[in-house]
Amino acid sequence: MTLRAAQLLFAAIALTIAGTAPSLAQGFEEQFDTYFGHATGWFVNIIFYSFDIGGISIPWIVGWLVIGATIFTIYFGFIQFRMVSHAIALVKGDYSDPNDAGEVSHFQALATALSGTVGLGNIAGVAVAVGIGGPGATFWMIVAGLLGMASKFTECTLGVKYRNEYEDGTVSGGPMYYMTKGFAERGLPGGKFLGIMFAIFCILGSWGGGNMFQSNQAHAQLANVMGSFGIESFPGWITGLLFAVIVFLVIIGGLKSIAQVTEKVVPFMGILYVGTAVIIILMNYNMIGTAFSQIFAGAFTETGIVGGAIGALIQGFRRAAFSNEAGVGSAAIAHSAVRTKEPVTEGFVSLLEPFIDTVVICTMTALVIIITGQLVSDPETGLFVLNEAGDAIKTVDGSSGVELTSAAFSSSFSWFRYLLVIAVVLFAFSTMISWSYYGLKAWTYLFGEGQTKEIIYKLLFCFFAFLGATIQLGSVLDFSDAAIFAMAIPNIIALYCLLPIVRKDMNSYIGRLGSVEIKIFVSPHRQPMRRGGALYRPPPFQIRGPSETIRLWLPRLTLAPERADCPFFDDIFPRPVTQFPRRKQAMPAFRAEMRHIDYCSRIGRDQPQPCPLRQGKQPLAQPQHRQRAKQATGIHKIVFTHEKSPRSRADMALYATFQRKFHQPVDPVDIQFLLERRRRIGRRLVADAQFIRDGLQTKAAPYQCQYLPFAIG
Amino acid sequence: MSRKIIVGFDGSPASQRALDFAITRAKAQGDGIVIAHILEWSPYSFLTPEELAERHKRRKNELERAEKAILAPMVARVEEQGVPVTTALKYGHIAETLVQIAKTEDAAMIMIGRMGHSGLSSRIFGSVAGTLAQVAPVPVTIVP
Repeated sequence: MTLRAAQLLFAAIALTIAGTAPSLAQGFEEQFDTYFGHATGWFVNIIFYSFDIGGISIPWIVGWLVIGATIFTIYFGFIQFRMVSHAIALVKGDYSDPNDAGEVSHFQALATALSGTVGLGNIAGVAVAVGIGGPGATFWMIVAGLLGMASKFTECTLGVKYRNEYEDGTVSGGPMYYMTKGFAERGLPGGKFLGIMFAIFCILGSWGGGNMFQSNQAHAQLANVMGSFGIESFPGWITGLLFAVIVFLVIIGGLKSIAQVTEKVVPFMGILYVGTAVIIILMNYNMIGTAFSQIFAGAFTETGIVGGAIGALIQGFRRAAFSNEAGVGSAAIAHSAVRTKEPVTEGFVSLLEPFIDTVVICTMTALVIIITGQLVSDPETGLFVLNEAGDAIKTVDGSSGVELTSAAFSSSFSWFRYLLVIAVVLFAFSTMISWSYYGLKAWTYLFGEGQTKEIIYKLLFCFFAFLGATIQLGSVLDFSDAAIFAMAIPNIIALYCLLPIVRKDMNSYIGRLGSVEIKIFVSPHRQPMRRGGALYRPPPFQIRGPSETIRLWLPRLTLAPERADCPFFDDIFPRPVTQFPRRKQAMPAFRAEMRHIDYCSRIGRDQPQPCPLRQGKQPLAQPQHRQRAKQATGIHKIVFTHEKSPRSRADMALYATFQRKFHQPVDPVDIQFLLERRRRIGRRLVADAQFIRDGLQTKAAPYQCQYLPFAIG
Repeated sequence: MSRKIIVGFDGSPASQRALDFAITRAKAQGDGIVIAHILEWSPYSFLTPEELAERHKRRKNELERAEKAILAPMVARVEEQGVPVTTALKYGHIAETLVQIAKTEDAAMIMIGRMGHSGLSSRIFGSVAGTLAQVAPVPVTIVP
């Protein structure tokens, strides 16, 4: 019933926009603007409603996003700082199953989601923030970016967890699915209502901020450059038509090549942009200290800008939220396609997104603007000078927004303004392609899947792309901006409600990381092959030569080990545990064991001997020990996987491995020997390692395995 | 003792010749053949959101198509000659994946056809044969 009503309401809004928009003549345009402004003004006012605190207006939606991000950060125990290295390992593919090659990788999901967010916000938005809020805004922007990482983590984990997987193998995911399914799972009411609300805002946002706004701004840039070539009035309909046709070809015509080219060029442009910024910053290296002192001073003290330090905070938060879209829910749609058994892993990957978008790219833009001295300050008081209107800091050439960024970059490299235009157009285009997909997912959620239904949406999308560049309507752009931020209202409510689910998954995953099975890469001579991305990893239960992956099973200790037989007892078992509960306890013991085994192998004895590496009773978890152990054993990297491996299976595997390796059945005595030694030493780990090493070195000369698995399986 | 020959096969005339050559060798030496078809793939490529969503489906289709159209007829052909044959169908960087297959299968040698790119393009992009010659753990035969 609600769905039907929502459809009707939605159709009405769409018709209002579509039906009145073609009136493109100038007079009509203004009339339309007024009419549209009346029709949607209330909505924009609600979304961007501002509280006045001490003369500063704070839009409540910005507070909503930042407070949400702060709560997520605290609730997940600063997950964005704890799991960064793990996130990078995931993106690099260290945890990817090689048998899944050809599926969507973590890297691809991240890159696609990034191309949807990196865009005008990073170029124009930052210039606005710094232009109004001064250098101090940069500080708050970074803070908001760091907090936003927790929001992204939450929404993307849920996006993957509750996505729909269809029989033909395609997936649909996003906030509307976790709202419906997640709420049902927790027995909460209102999931469906939130889902519909989100979907409606998402569709409107995809036509507006993700589409019209993009083509509008791209056209503004193009017109600007054309102006510098002497073409004074570059008509908007040309840009609009161009965008509409290309978007049509890509999303309806199925012309993949254009999209693929864009997807390849956009990351390149991003790198070029950041690279140029770094060069400019380095060229003015003597200003770096000043710039940072300005940033910190501006963040906390009065520097002459509108609203002082609070003004800087508002601007910084606002632009960060606009740029990285953390909490809006759009990224959850893009991330949900990844192939993973663990939804949390995609959450970890996604938390890099606000970092790259806001903390890296936005900060670069801000630094360039500050360092190149675009902002005019009073030499006597040191305070910034306001422009005539009194609403922003006066700039050297009076520019603001994209022009300010352009001016800052061009002051060092005059050609950069043209590059910036290309970048803006490409960023706009890739953002449009991404949003066309987000909107489509919301559309199919509301109206169901189907060729005709999808075509209708896509045609409307192309039409709005045309419209965006053609008309200069403040009210339409305001509305489209508002629609994107309206998505954050149902989304963050849903995130609050589903937090415990994410935390349960997260804790379960992190717990498993350390305690059950460890996977290591052994590299005495050279790095494992990494070119082309696929890291070679033999299947479990196989022992191979050096420089390949070996799966290690760190057993849960159920038997009390016999102390007398192992001089490393204290290292291996720092305290009487019956199992290794977490990574923290497991790691020192594990490292000690590696050292110990290594030493035994080097002196060529069966019997474990005291190892010279061990120095008294020093704690083993210190970095220098870790480093030494790594050097001594050749194990250059230790990472963790989570699959469980029962003991008996490991025994079977050992047997099978030997059989395969030596092309003959393993002598039962060997197995007996193994078992006996295990009893003697008290740990199968040590016994297996010794046994396998001895076996391979004597029986199969080509396999010069210096460092072999302690246990397999 | 029966050994295994990996044949990198992509359906091209050159790879057909490589397979023919491998069959004669295998017959003469009593070896087995592993026909390896690699679908070029990098987990670091960039895709649109729509491609992401369809990736799993497309992968399934691609694997099915390769199995049916490329590998099945060749398996029949090799079996006709009385040579034991298995297949390997993988995604990845072609040369590196061939090396991996050679390792997992404990192969004696790798045979590939030559694509015949010379000069500039192979200098810029590198060739499968060239890379294999550099990194393969077993002897590589390149059939012209």
